[in-house]
Amino acid sequence: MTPAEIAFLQLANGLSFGVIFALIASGITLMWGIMDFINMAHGDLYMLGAYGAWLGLIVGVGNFWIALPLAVLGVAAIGLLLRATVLRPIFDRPPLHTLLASYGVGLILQQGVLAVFGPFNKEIPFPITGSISLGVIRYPAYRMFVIAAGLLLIAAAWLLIQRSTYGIWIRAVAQDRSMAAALGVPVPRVYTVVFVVGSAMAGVGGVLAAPLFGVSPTMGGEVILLAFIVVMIGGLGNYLGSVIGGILIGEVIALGAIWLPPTHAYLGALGVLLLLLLLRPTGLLRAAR
Amino acid sequence: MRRAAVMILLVVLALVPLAASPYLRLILTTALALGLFALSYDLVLGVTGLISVSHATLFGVGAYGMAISMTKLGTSFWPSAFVGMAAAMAVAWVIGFFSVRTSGPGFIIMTVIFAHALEQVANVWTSVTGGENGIMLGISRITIVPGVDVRLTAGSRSAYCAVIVCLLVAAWACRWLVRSPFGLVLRGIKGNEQRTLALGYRVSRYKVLVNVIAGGLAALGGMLYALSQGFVSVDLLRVLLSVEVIVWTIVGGPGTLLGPVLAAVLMSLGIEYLRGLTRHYVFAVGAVTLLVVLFLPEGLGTLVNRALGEPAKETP
Amino acid sequence: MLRVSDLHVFYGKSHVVQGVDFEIGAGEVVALLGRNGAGKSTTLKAVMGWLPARQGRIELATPNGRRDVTGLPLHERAALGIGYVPEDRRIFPHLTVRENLRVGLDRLRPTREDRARAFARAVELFPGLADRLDHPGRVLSGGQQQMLAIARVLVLDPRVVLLDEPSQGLSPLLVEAVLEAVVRLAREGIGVLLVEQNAVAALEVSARGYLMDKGVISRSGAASALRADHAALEQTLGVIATSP
Repeated sequence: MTPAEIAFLQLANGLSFGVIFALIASGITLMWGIMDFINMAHGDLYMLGAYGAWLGLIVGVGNFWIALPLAVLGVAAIGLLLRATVLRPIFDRPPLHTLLASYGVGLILQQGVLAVFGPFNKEIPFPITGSISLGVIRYPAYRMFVIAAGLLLIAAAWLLIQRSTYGIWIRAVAQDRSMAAALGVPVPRVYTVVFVVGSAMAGVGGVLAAPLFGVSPTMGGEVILLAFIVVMIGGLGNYLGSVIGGILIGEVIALGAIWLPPTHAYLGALGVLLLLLLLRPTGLLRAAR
Repeated sequence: MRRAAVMILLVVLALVPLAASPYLRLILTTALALGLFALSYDLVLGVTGLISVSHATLFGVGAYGMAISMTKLGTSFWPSAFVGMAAAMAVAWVIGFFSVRTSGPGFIIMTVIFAHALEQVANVWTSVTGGENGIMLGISRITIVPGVDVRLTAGSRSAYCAVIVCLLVAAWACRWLVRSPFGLVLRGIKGNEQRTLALGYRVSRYKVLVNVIAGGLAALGGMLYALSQGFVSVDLLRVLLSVEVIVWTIVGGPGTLLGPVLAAVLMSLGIEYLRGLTRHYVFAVGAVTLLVVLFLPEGLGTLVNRALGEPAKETP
Repeated sequence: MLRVSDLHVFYGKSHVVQGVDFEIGAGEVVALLGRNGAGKSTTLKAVMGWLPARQGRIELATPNGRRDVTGLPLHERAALGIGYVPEDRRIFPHLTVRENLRVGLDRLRPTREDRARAFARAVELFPGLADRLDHPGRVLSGGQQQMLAIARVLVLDPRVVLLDEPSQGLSPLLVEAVLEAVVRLAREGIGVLLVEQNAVAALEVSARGYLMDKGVISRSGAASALRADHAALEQTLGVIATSP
């Protein structure tokens, strides 16, 4: 392939990684911004989404398009369960406690999956085969789908945050929790919505990623580092920031893969973050709530 | 009354294992090294109120620094130990430097990022770190003073004594540090950071500095751990261990210095016991973490205090 | 409408409100006056649920009878009809004026017409907001923010509104506008508790008043009586109250 073709290919790949990172990171950043909750288990929710897709395909239904919504609903349900059981009694505790609790939950989820399904990577066939011509290159159709679906979901979430009642409530709570409550906003319910939606988005990320990367119990751990880097780059609590940061880091990883072996790609992302901190400690974007 | 109990405990710890089996000595030695690790972390979390999730990184870097220096560079013990210490303190400085540049809660996430990143580096860079298998240390011959040689092997009495001595010296040093003017500033940062800032103290500098000092102590713990085991592995710098030490510190009572040491020793012995029982002991670690947060957030110390009729301390 | 009995509030170890009783009737403007640090703001916060009350009872009259709201969380008290306009206004800085109004309004599940009506009502009361409906809260002036803070609460059809120093930092013209708004609130049947350091202005629009000093209520009565009681005013507020 010519250098131009390689570059273009990686740019497109970067976008496909990027939307997945954005989906995961936006959940983390919203949970932090609204609830002061650092969700160390977020990567494992992503992992559960992937397993849901695999289960749906192999064990249950056999059709990726049915498995997808089922898997996402499954992760959302797990998110709801976690919120109602483990996280409810501690939601007004200091961030350290919620961080530790979420780490514990993540470990349990990971170990549970490991015990039930074993440690080996499981592969999922591409639900869409073939490729599409993008002028310069031919690009895999499934990856195009990932990009399109990802961007669509991100845009839909953005619209909801900007226009819908819950969106306004979420932004109000992020800016001034007590005043929002004093105006009648049902803050505990808002927390639940953020948690469930954030979990669902991570789950979607997992489903979309499953055919690309395979399904393994540790895939959450592999992605969480990059997700946190994205969150820091985009600014804590800043949805738009995590989207832009996600795509940015996706591109950094993909373009970095041209020269670095994939296992070292995250170093590029870390480098970007550290550089940013040196140059602009206030973060990439001001809070564009 | 509590003083006496601590004294008795120390005496027991000091004397009993000298008669026990090498295996028992081994696990006690490693547990005590983890106690030293927890002591160093209490400076960060308990005294200064900094939530760092990268402390095991320093523990592991210290151990690896020493091990790589000894095996790959062929240096003798003391220079290697120096390398390990210096490496850990340098990493602690870098982590601290970048982490304080973010606003408040970003600090936590930055340490999480660094911890994950360095764990990944260690996992991947197998040529240097030996990956899952780690680096064997074998028998280390240490010259304490010219003419006095000590051989540290896994489970040896000398390893045990070395750890006990280091732990006691470190505990005394930490005590002194906490009571010093420097320690006063640290405690001010924990109590009311804004006010400490308003008083003119460069809070960021103090945060980085305490991370470096604690990093050095953690490195000491890491090196002792590695020496007493006879090898270094990636397990020493896992995020898992960083989270475990947070749990130990909370259970033992943040800020009490000795509480976290005790909690670390006892809980790591517990984990060791579980590891012998089942492959899925990591599951237990997760469960314990969750249970501690749900039911024991103020640590055992305050429970004991309340039982003895003293007022409860604050949670971090 | 609202009855508070034996309210005690602590700020850490400090006993800021030491057994306070008062009442607000429907359509009544009641002034709560006192020096800085007397405990007025803290009292309001405890009534709203912003701060926890160590002791005491807070009862609200609702269509379903008297309701004991002590111990209910903030958002539930707001839902039952207690409105609060805090001292620092606390406009959501990154939400537009419209969105600021929607925060409370949307709980009532308004239709698009309902919302339009609510916005119109807010603008009618505070014409200054008319051109600024799509401006973010942080670009509003102090006076406009105060208007918005009151409008925000108004569109919820509250039973009781707690106003904490609404005239603070405002020019005399704006203070007049605010007090006019207060009178209009009362005319709609809303009970208003008005905390003010500007005693003279507050008593002018109030039916009754309470003087608060170091955590307790030292004097209460009709506004006209309080206005005339120069001695009490001077003692509790340190102001020499000239007759209007």
